[in-house]
Amino acid sequence: MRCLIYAKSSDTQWVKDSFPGLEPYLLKIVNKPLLEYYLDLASLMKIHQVRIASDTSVKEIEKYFGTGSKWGVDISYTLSRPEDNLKSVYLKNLSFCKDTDLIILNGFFFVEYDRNRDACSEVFKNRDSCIELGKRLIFIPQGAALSDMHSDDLDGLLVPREFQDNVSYYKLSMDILINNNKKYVLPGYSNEENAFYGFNFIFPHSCSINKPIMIGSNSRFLEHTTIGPNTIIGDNVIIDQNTDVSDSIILDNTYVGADLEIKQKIFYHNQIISGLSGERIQIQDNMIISQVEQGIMASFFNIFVQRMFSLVMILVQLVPWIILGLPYSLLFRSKRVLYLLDKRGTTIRLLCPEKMRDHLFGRFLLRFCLDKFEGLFLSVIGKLYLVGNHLFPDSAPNRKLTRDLSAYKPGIFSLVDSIVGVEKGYDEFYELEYINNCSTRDNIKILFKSIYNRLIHGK
Amino acid sequence: MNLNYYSKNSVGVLEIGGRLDAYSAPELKSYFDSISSNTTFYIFDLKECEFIDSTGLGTIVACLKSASQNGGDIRLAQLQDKPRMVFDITRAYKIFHIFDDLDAALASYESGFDSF
Repeated sequence: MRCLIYAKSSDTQWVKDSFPGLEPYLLKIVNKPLLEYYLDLASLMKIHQVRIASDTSVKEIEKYFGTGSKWGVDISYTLSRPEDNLKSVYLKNLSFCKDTDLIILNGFFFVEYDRNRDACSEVFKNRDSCIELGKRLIFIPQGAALSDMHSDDLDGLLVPREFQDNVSYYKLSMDILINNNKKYVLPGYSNEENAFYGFNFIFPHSCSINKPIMIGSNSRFLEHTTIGPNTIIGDNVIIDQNTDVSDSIILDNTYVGADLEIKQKIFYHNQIISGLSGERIQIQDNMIISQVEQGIMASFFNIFVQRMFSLVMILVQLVPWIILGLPYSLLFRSKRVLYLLDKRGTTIRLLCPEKMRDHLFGRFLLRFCLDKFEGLFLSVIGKLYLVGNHLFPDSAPNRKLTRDLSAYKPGIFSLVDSIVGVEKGYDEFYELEYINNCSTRDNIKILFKSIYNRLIHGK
Repeated sequence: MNLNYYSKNSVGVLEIGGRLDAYSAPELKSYFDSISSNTTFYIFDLKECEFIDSTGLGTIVACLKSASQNGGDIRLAQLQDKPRMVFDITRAYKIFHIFDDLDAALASYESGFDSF
């Protein structure tokens, strides 16, 4: 059996309006993109080949799902014209659709199923005629044509559920979180009823968390916050101090300000949507709600300040480098290792402080940060930051680590350099901490602390 | 680039193989101009086409324009993953009918595809 998903754009305008910049079929329902539920259903039915046809771009979808190996299915992608109807899409994908049983998931809807019921996986077994459920879910047995369909409720095992506005989206999300969270494979770690936690979320002891709740990865709650009940927090969310959130959805990469009481709302970047009426307002004041910038590092001001500091450091270190550093780097070429410059695995060979520590002369140079001199030029031309993520040596574990980070913009100096007594093996923690909290002011602090640590502690 | 033309059921099928880039695109245009008197309905079979750049895509669009002016059409069959990305980012998929099967593309002319 195969599955054709027709991700048409005609019924997704409300998603584009409410959640600008988001690919509608990647809209998260309880922290999981809609299309992922489709793929879960395909997996449940032991379908191994899925084709996603879209009348807009499949770029974002393809970027997220890739070949589908993570879900145990082979995904192929195709494009159709916006005016194509289902029959046209079927014909355009005839090679994929013929010679096998086929399920078509037609457009933007949610399909209710229960992964714990075996009958769900065999609902189409031994059926020899075309079946449609509300024109959304269509079964075509091998050899049959896309016609002569008859409606069938399939004993309620699969139920297409429409959600065509913010209110129905809110209701659907809450319904799954509160009443039906066992029916689906939901993201996050769960060792207690009605609670799902992602990776690396940070909360102080003064924070109160109430179930049912779902918290995404890399989220951070500050002092005296109350989160839940009936709350869905996405990935990379920051909730500032003294804020209460209940019966609400905070979508990915959103900052929620301090001293707020949020109830029955959907937050997305700088948009607040009422879960009850669907009304939507856009907030211009970044103190209340805003998009979490995955890189202050990428801001113009930050880059400008960093380059200026790099130039100053070059001027200060130029003479010592020519007299001491240059001869050392020429004599001890083995003290260089490859470092990862970005997530794609681009590398550069630079002096390695760990190796330089083996030698008295090397330790002396380290005190004056002369190992950083070559990197300063890279900072000026924009290949490296002066202060950024830790510059990891090229190795398989480090490649994985940098890929998994939400942002990796390495700097000559990093948060780890500014801390004395860093716990080994917690690289990811420090990097996430930096990514979530860095600002230009913090970068300057990190720079001076790192230089001080080198000079005084020889770190 | 390899070009092979044949006619099936009054539809001209042009197989395009290899790379369709700035270097080879003029060859496609002049070849298409030379066959355009045969018929007005075409299928470009891209099964063996491994790369299309913006110039190549521009040439296919020019061929489509030329066919349309004569009341015809060009439909694409068996578009591979890498060239598909070019159609995706340039949104060229909005002006072409793209089929994963050559027979289905041929059938679309016979059955009056637009009436679907």
